[in-house]
Amino acid sequence: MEDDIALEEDFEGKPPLSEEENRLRKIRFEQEFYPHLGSLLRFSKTLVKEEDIAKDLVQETFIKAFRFMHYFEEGTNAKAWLFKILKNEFYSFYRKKTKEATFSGYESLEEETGEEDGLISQHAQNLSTEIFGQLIGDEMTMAINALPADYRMTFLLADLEGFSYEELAAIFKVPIGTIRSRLHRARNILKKQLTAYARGMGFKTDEDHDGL
Amino acid sequence: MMDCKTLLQLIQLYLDGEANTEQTELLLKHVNGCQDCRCIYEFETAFRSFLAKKMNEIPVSDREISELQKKISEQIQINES
Ligand SMILES: [Zn+2]
Repeated sequence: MEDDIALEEDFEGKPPLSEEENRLRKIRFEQEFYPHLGSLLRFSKTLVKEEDIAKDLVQETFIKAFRFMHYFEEGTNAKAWLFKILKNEFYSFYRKKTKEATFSGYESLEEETGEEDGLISQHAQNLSTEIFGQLIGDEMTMAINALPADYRMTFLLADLEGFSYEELAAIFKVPIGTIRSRLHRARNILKKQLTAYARGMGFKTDEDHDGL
Repeated sequence: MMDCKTLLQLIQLYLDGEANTEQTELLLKHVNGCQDCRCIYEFETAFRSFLAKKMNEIPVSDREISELQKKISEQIQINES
């Protein structure tokens, strides 16, 4: 990934660390980065179905984090930094796997305005909240997995990990407005999907009565 | 009074933890006085907590974490030598 290349170039010409420096680096690495391992693994598992691959991506993330640790500014957000690396790992894994230009293809969606979003939101709120309780995790996982990858990652990082718009903008290197629009769209798609599932299961939603 | 369309956006902002004090006040005031928006607000809140609950059901055990950590440490060791 571009980030990696940039990092590699910077790395060249630096004097190797002394034994003592290296020892300290390891301690810092363990103290600052390992506590986030569980969060990254959970995130990776939601993105990739195959457990082994999910773990490999996290492993590779930590190995890179260690290698490039001198670029990590102490006192800044270690978790956000790790997720940024993991996101890149996921992208390159996904690109290798599909070779389709799926990611960039969806970006154009973000330029659209919110007229239709308002409608979806109105439509979805008719679904009573109790019905959601009846849906099982599988439907939800399927709905999340069906999201475009950029939306899915942004959404999961926001809702699962609680990153702020600003942190997300830094992780994805996009403007805050793009983050806001991705989240908005991702949630609307999910609401629509889950409404459809609930219907398919025979639950009546308020909307069914609209025509009466 | 703020219009309902603006409020829809504000609800998202608020639930994302991005609304400032002023926006939060506006939101709560509107929601208290507007039945429609209150429904939406309640729905959105429930929807968020539903998603959060389901997502947290993805299993990650302590054992898995410590095994992976061990593997990473070993790999780093190998890379260094
Ligand atoms: Zn209203």
